[in-house]
Amino acid sequence: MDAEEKVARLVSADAVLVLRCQANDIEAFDEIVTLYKDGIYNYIWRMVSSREDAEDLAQDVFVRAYGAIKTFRRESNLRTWLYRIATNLCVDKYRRRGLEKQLFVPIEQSRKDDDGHSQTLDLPDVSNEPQRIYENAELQMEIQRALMNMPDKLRSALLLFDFEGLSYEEIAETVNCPVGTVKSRIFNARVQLRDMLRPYVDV
Amino acid sequence: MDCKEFSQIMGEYVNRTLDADAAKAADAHTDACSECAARMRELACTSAMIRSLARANTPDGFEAQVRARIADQCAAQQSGFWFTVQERLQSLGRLLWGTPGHRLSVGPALAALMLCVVAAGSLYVFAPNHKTPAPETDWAYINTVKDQHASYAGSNPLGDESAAALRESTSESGETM
Repeated sequence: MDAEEKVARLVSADAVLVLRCQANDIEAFDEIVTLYKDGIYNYIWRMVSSREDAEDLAQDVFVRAYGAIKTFRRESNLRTWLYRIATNLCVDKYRRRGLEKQLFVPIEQSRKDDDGHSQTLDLPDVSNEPQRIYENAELQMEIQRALMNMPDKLRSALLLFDFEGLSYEEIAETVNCPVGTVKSRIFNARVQLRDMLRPYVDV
Repeated sequence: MDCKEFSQIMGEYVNRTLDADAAKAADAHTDACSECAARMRELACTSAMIRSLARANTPDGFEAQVRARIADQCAAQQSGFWFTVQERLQSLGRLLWGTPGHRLSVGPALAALMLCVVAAGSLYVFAPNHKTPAPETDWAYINTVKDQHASYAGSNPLGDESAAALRESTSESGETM
């Protein structure tokens, strides 16, 4: 089964679940939560960089979805709808708290010790294992920090594409912009990420 | 494909969303151009980085908490109007007699209210009368009209006694005609 067929089957299964929810079948909503909770939770976790906040916000996503499922249009895609709610909640949270500029110090600054000397991360020698380089926990923190230093529009596009595996069209529906804009956001996010993590990118 | 053309499709090449022909052309270009190949590899690294980020399961009890919050929300919606009324009354109660720090002192509030009443009453009593004065009676005009009316008395065009009655009433009141 190719990816498109898989998505088509998922969408059709979702449509049935939505119809059941609209007929007040609470168990259908439980199925939706079970299906999407991990994806939504992980996406939010990477968007806000806090697992506690991610748990609260992921719950908010489903509570809001339940409140609005009666008005959900059948031609819409449940998956993108849930990610749209999640994205909006993440962005609102940042606007309220003004976190973006406060919590996340630039990477270069964060890697200086008390005397102001640059620290080098103790990375394993992975010259023969390019995929394993990113399994290092400390590097994962650097990647997360770099994500938090980019604008939320770029971060969400990149995470939805690479981390959640949404297609261009699904991302466009999620963030409500043209497909061309999605492509350019992903590209710009890659460029920013490469520039911020250049020491680890030269493989 | 030259470097300029490659840079235009590099994003999709890295995302692996090019069609087969375009991907083949891009492959050929990166085989021939080490600079473009290096740029492409750098961007491809970012994809591997994001894909490598750890994933976690939702914490235990996640679904139960979602259910509980939905139940709370439904209960709040059902109480609706009466809930709002109760809240308002409680707020008012707290304002007047409620918890320390949130209580408005009743004495000063009543004193302020009395002061307002007295001030408004004083203004009403002592303020100059701004009513529009009644226009003065224009007796000259009235007499002219009476004269015109009386002039018909002889011919009595209306066939009634109004002119005579008018004449009599005027002479009784002492007004000049």
